[in-house]
Amino acid sequence: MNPLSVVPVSLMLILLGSLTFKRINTPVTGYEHALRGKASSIALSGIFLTLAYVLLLPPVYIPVDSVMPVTNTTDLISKYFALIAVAFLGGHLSVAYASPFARRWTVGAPGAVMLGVVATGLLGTLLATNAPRPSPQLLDYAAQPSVRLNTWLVLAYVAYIVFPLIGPAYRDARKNPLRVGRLASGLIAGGFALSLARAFTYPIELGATGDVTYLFMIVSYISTAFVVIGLALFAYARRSRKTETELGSALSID
Amino acid sequence: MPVSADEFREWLEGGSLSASPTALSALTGINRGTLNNQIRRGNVAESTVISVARATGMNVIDALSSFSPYQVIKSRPIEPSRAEILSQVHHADLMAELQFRTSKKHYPRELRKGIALIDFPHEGSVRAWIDAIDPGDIRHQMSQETGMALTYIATQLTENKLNPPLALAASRAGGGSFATGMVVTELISPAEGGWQVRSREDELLEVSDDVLVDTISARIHLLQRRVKQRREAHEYARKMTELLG
Repeated sequence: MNPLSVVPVSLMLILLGSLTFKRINTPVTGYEHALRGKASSIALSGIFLTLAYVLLLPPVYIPVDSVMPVTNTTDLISKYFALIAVAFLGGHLSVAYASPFARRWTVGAPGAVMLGVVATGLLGTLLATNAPRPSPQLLDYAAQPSVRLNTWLVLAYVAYIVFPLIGPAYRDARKNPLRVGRLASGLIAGGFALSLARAFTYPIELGATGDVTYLFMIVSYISTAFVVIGLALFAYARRSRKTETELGSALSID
Repeated sequence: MPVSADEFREWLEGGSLSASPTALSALTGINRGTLNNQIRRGNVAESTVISVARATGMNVIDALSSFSPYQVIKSRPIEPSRAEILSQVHHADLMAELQFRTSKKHYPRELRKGIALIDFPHEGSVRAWIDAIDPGDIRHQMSQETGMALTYIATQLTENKLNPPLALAASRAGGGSFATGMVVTELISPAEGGWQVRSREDELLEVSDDVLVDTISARIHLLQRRVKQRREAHEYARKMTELLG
């Protein structure tokens, strides 16, 4: 088992798990707002993404996969969780950033069709892969064309979701009246741009050998971390009532 | 409109000063790399000329007027007009004056004793100066003279600043003192621009009732816009933190 595949997943899990837990478990303003309030999709997205990463840990992956009808179905379930998380996030951000185009694109009819196509494609490519042993992210079979297509389908779906949101997120990074809000949206836009870049540069990645492959995967981890930290900053801004403290009376000069 | 490096060198030589960035840096405290870049690119910032003048005890107006874009400065009176002085009084101070004039019993002037006027520049003070000297189409004239877009001028005013070429163009269009534009935009100090120490206090005492009320009315209009913008910013920030937080 290559530590380059396990360590980043573990770190991501710590980051995602802790921030999601913090989001839904903060006294007074946490649970009610996170799971029932206007930001519930973000919390759900965090939960699904955390579950996706939990399943990728070998001590979880191997026992779960042992009860699955087809070897490496756990990887498929992990990817489905990730797709659902991205769909929730895309739909919610399109509302927050007030982009009807992004809304239609991510969770409207085109978004549903895309999700269906990618989900079916992931199932098809898993069945077409000759993978007799459990392998998180199918890394042991990365050379097989079906696995390459499988990986690219996930990257393509993420790119599809984030593409219409980069512009609105970037605009908010420039116009949000709160400093922390500008930073948060900047991180989200940066994370989305990295996701998009990885999907477009996937052909280059196919030529990589050995541990270099993991470098490309780290791009996705960094992009996810940017987005997650960006959203956590918005949560911090809400909890610490930054709107009230930073945007006081327009009359005061003190 | 920075001054040309050649003119800057000639000017330094005229004052028996070294044109080396290291010597200038030691003299003015400006970063040597910044000075080097300015001289190498051929454009020396006005603030550099002013720093040299201050460091050597020269009159900054005389120093600036040695350079071609600023030779006009001394073609008009250096001192500000009364309207320009009043434009740099904060609306809260204007309203305090209104209260003092309204009732000596309810608002005795002694309440203010020992408390200075709000310093300028303050939020909106550059726009207030532009409004005070505006003959009607000042922004268009500034845009035409400098080649800068009206939207850029509006952005500068929103940020309560004007670059030196725009300040010069505004003074030219408004027919007022060129030096005052530089004072209002903080390029030079009020004392360097010919402002008396208590000019704002004196003007506030001497301004007629109708001018005082008109000025307050105009400032209230600006204040309404600012309050509305703040409310919109507040609502936007609250929406974003509620939806994403």
